[in-house]
Amino acid sequence: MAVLSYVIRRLGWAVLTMFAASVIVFAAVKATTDPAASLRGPGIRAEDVQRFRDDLGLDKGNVEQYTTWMGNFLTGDLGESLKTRRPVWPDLRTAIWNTVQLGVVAFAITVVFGVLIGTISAVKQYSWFDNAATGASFIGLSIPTFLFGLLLQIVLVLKFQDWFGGTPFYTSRMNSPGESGFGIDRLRHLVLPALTVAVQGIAVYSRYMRASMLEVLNSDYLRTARAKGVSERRVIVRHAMRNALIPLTTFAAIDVGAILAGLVVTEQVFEWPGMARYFLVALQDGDYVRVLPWLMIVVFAVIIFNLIADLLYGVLDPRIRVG
Amino acid sequence: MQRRRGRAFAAVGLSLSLALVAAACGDDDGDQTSDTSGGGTEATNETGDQQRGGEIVLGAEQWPECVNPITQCANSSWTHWAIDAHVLPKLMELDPEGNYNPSPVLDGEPELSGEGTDNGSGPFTITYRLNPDAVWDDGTPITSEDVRFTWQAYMGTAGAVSLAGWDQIEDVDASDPQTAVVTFKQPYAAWGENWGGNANYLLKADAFDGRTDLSNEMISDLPFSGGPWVLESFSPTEAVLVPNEAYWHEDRVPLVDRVTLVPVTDTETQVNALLAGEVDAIYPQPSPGIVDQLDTEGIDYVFGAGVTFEGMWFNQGSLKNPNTPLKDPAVREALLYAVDREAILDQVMRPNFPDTEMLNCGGWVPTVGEWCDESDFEDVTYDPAKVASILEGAGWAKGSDGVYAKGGQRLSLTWQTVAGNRRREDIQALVIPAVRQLGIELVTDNSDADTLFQTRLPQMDTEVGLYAQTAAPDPTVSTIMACENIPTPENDFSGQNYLGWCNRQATDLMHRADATPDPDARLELVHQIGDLVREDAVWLPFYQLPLFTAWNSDKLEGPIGDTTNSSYGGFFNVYDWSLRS
Repeated sequence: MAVLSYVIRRLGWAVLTMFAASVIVFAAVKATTDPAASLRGPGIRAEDVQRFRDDLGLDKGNVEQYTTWMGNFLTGDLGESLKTRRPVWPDLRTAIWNTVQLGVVAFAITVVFGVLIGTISAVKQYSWFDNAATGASFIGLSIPTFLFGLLLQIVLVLKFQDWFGGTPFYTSRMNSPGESGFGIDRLRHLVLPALTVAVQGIAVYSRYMRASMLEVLNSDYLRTARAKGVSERRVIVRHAMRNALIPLTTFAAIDVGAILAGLVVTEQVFEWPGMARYFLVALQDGDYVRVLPWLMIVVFAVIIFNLIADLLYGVLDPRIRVG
Repeated sequence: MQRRRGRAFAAVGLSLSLALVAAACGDDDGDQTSDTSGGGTEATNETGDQQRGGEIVLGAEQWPECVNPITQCANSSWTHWAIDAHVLPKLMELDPEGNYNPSPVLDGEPELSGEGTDNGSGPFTITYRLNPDAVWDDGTPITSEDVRFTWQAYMGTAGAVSLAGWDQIEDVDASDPQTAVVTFKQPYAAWGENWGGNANYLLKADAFDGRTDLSNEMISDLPFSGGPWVLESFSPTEAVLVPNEAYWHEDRVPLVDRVTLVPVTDTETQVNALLAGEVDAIYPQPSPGIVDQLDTEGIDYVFGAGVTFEGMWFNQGSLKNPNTPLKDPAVREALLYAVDREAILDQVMRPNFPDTEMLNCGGWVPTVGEWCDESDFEDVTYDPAKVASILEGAGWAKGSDGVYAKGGQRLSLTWQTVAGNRRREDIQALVIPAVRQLGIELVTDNSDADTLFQTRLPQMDTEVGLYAQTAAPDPTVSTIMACENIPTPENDFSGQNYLGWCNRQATDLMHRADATPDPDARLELVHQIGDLVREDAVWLPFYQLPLFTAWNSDKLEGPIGDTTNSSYGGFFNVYDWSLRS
């Protein structure tokens, strides 16, 4: 019951947070952008701009615009884009799905390699592998995402073509012309952006994992396990890693929520039509009707995954449970 | 295709690559683009013997969010360059030099009649005779009813970007299906822009069941075609054009079976996609170093002079500094001679774009129509002595800090441009110390593009601006230079005259020019406006921003690059492109 009450309380705060965020972002978007202001050029007259504003209701009071939007949102109507008149939801849904694909693949690479490298580094502390991993992780953290993405394009596509006469990778986009859906072609397009996203994650996760493992490896219960004759492999995999993963798991849960906001640089460099590009284009258009649902989903995801992280912590470590 | 050899990069992720390389090399022999060149038949047209069939993939630097030619989507050049200009017909078309010509839809030049034709007042009528061969993609003829409907649709669509010209029309007589007689309420010089010109089209009346509010139509499809291509599909990630089988104008019958346009909006990625063979041609805004990147076997490129011009714009009505020294004509005049334009070209532009020429027109460019009078700013050269003479003659004197001052006001100006734009920031870095030595202080006050163009310029929150304007084929500058278009708090910041320049004589000339359909008479008026722009030192023109088409010459042949400078973009004549045999 205590856990249920806790979850309900957190969800209540989530609703309040989403409402506050929507007000702040609506005000920010209205204050800094104007869909009509992008209408410029010798053929566009002042009366054209005013008529445009009238047609789209841009001159109505901000409170009226916001409450109209919120009223529709609460009834499940996300409305139509101010610019394109396309319904908001189908495009947003597609952007979510695209980011999820990239995020999941990148996240999987991050976790697998991050945990593996961190574990080996800890077990072989101060070995050549540990030193190399430490150096590589600092490089991974330091190199700007856009630069790493472009390097991957040059090395794994252009140079690869020169060296081997072909390459399995693509510089950009989700599919080749005429292709669609999640298949081999999509996977080949996914490799470079996923690696670009993953490289920083691996650097961070491997450091976390190394530190966490070192802490566990020196604990009494492992010494006891060894003394009882448990094999070293079993000690590390079953006893050490399991406990070392607890802080990383909660950290990862928070990361997953943040991924849904999109991967700004990577999506731009690799022409990946995900959440970040959706947001940037909508913001550029001053299209608050598109920006606000994006915001709601992102805030909701962050809150939910934070909640999951908190709950997971309790599940994984029985000492920390809501009492 | 051979590629440029470069430094070996660290093979990050090589092991992962090797895991997939076998599959890649096996399925398409290393070429990522689908090989559709086989099985073609030889065809003969005006471009010579070229192969028919196959597919071309074009990379678009910006991606239209929808394809509606009337609503705000039409405000993006790429809506026209990627989609609309290939599919929708026009009555009057622009050639690459920016001159209006009858399109294949017309049977000869339109007839202009009425007293207003020559003298700027009185009745004004245009008679368009339609080509009897002109048909929509379903084979039905293009008629005067379509001309009439198009006018009604532009007028009736909520959120239409511009009604310029359309709202000047009194009626369109469609009683003869082959003849459309358009009567204007008053003479209208830019008549070529309606149903054609830069960004307007002819629409098919039957396609919309009588609806004239098309704001919710043509979002992701164009349900008809009167151009060489039919839009088969459009999505946020891809657009496919296929030949219009009913197209009647044999010079523009497409040679390939399919053109796929894809967005590649990052400049570096765009170049890499071309080098990798993922796209066959690109039409990017040239960026520093792009020529070096593309200087490789199998890639050709061509520069065009461009239709966008850049310079220093002096805001006399600045609200950033309501007492701006720019209100003093002597300050503006001195700035013309204080900025070394030749140095800007030599040190910023020409290292990347060697053919860049200095621009001397008052508000037009020499590559769009005949409106540019290159003598306007011809006399303006870097001249420190003249700067001192002009300023001191107007009562300015150098203070102890070396900066001129007058009546307690220092000659210090803020200078706004787009933060992060390397070209513009390089210009600022070059000019600021140079003019400081002459006693003029320029202080950078840059913003991101959205803030500058959507907030600061419209609200006159600038002083000296460094940005570009686009030269439209119609030479009107009323919207950006006439008195009534200065944004002020009183008019709720409407208008685009971000110069705050109000010269009644010039504004009268602009109004007369806009109502003078006769090209010769109008040219004279435009040149008089240019003279006043120079006389008042309204701005300082620098150069035209070049345009650029690059393509895979191992795969493509034809007159590629010929429309680089066209209002319709570098891909416009893709109907004449073909795959190499």
